[in-house]
Amino acid sequence: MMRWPARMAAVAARLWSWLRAVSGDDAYEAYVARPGRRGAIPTREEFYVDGLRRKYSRLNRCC
Amino acid sequence: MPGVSTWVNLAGVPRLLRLVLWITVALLGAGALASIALTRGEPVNAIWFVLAAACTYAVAYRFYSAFLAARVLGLDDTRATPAERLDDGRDFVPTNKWVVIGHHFAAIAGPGPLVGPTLAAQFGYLPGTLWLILGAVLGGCVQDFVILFCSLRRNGKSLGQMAREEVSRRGGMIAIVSVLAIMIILLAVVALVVVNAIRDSPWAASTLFMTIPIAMLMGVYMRFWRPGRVLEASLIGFGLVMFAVVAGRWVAASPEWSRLFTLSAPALAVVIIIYGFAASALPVWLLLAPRDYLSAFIKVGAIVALACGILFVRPVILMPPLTRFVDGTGPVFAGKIFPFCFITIACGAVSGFHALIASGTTPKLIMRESHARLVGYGAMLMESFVGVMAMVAACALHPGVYFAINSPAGVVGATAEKAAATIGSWGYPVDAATLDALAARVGEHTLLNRTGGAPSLAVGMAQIFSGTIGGENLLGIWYHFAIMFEALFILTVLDAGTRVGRFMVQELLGHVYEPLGRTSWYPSVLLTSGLIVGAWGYFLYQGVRDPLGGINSLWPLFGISNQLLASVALVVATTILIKMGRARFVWVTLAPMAWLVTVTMTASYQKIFHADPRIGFLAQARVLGEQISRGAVPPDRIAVTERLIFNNQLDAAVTGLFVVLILFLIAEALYEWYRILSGGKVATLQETPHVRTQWAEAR
Repeated sequence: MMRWPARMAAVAARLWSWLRAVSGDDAYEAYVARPGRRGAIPTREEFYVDGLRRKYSRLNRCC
Repeated sequence: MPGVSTWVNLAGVPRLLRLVLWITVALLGAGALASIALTRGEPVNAIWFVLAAACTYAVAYRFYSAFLAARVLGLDDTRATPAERLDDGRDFVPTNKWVVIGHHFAAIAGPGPLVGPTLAAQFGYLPGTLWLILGAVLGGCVQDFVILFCSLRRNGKSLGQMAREEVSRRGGMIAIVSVLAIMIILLAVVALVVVNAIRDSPWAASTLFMTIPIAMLMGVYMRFWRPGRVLEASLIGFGLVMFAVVAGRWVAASPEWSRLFTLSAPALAVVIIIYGFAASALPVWLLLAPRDYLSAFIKVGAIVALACGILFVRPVILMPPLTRFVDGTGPVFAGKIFPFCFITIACGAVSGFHALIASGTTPKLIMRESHARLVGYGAMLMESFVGVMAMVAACALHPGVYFAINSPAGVVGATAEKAAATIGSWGYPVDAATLDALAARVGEHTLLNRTGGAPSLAVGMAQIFSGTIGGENLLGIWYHFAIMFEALFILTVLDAGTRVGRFMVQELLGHVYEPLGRTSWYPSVLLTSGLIVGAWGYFLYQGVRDPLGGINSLWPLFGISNQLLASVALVVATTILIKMGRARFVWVTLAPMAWLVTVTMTASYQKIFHADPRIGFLAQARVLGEQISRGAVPPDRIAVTERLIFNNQLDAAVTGLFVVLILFLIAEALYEWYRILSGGKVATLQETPHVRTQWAEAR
């Protein structure tokens, strides 16, 4: 059984990880670590700008 | 049920105990619904609303969505999803279901579920609350879930593409034209909500203006200094925005700064139109994206805070269950409870716009078909709950205060004394001193005639927040925080919508002259940005100049168009179910579709032809024309009146266009259904072939 401070730390870590994933903060790391990825790795800045271009070329916000 | 997950894992609980648990939840929900529906003469506590909504959602999710998943749609976890088959790490990315639901909820939850219920509170708390809860579980959630599923089986195709392939080629074109038209009305009406919330308010205006340089600073930070560090930048942005909220009080207290930021409604409309053009034409990383990140964080934070605040404060609902305005004479907007309650609340119950999100980014992220249930059905339940909270915040206000804030000057008068007398004569006593004192407590000169729902919601939220933290001392800060939060994400919708509208116009014009279709060719960018901004800007300016407050015309128009889009989505969904050989279950989409078509057709007919000039566009145009003929309009007002006549005729034409489009699509779909069901045509589904998943088990 985990002690409660360790359990709280684990919950906080999972929450932080979820927040990073939802916000796109970890998108670059996830892309680089992706298995089976081919081709040259873009820089973090190139990846970020390209991601924004894709995201905002289609409807991504509702009323 | 196999392959179908539930919110809470009850697998280890004995069957009998599970049964007892669900019966208890159902009875609790029924009891809570009965208590808010049947109570007369005694104030109801908001906790019953929360309980009624939560229990209904739990039962609907556990049983109805499971039925949809297993029996109607036949979700199949052995089938590889587009995210698995087409994984490119960019557009198609297998993503944890709890992350996908976060993305999806952030995308679908806009200002609609906050503003619509606040406006519909003029009928009393009951009709809107019931529609929010029942409309969502039987209509909105079903639409989102089924469309997400359909798109998932078609490599993430859009609603327009599915309409073209599954219904008819013309169906696809109708969907695209509808989306563009709806977007123009949507952008105009949400901009009008912002204008009415911050006009003549230096505190609110200065706070909102400050969000522009803050967003640009975040943009530079995430582009050059720390590329892609969204959380860091958002945290910095949040701190600066909170400082801007507090600093707004100093701006309002300074005569020079206050004068600079005190803007009339027409001036503010012009500023927002210029801003919309800039946001559409500027690089996306500079303004649009950082504002979106900031807005998403503040939006989710404020919604969670509101939920906690309601549970902590447990406010008493002061609005009666039904008001006298169910007869159609409401001051906020005119029209009877049927059909207008059901188009005023679109987002939160059923929103056609969701079908565009459910057939866009979301299906490209889903790892397993069974996750569509949580994401499609579950996220819409969350949005419905946001709507219920907005209803609670609005109805916790004294009805007299609610009507004073939300009624236009043309109905209740422009002074506190006149408004108090008019509203008192309706049976909702309020005195002028109370209205003035409330405005002073939140740091404003006046709260009167702020149609659009945002300020009354902000007052309701501020009372709940200050009841939790800070008390009376922080009421002004909380009010302006709430105004900033609403305005911030409304402007985000405006930015993003204008940009996407620009792309749609470029795509259409590209067929006429190829370079106009290039999204990076600057002359085309400027031209198409101008066209789209000019279109919604026209309706915005018309709303600002409307003596009935603009919301009376534009919000129903938006509601009608949004619900018509939902009808389009449900027509597509019904067609696909029939083609899948699930005609015996077709009622799951056909029933909400029939209801929405009935509601929107009735509302459209009344908005065009009703004899009451406050309801019917043509009647309003006729009355104004007669006033000019009789010489009842002063010479200097004739040009303005003629413009009002034209605007009413234009609104009638736009409503008529929506109706013709949807009737055409329904006729096409009915013919298609008849041919398939009568055996005259072989049903051909455009699904991607079944490919077995390579993943051992759902992650």
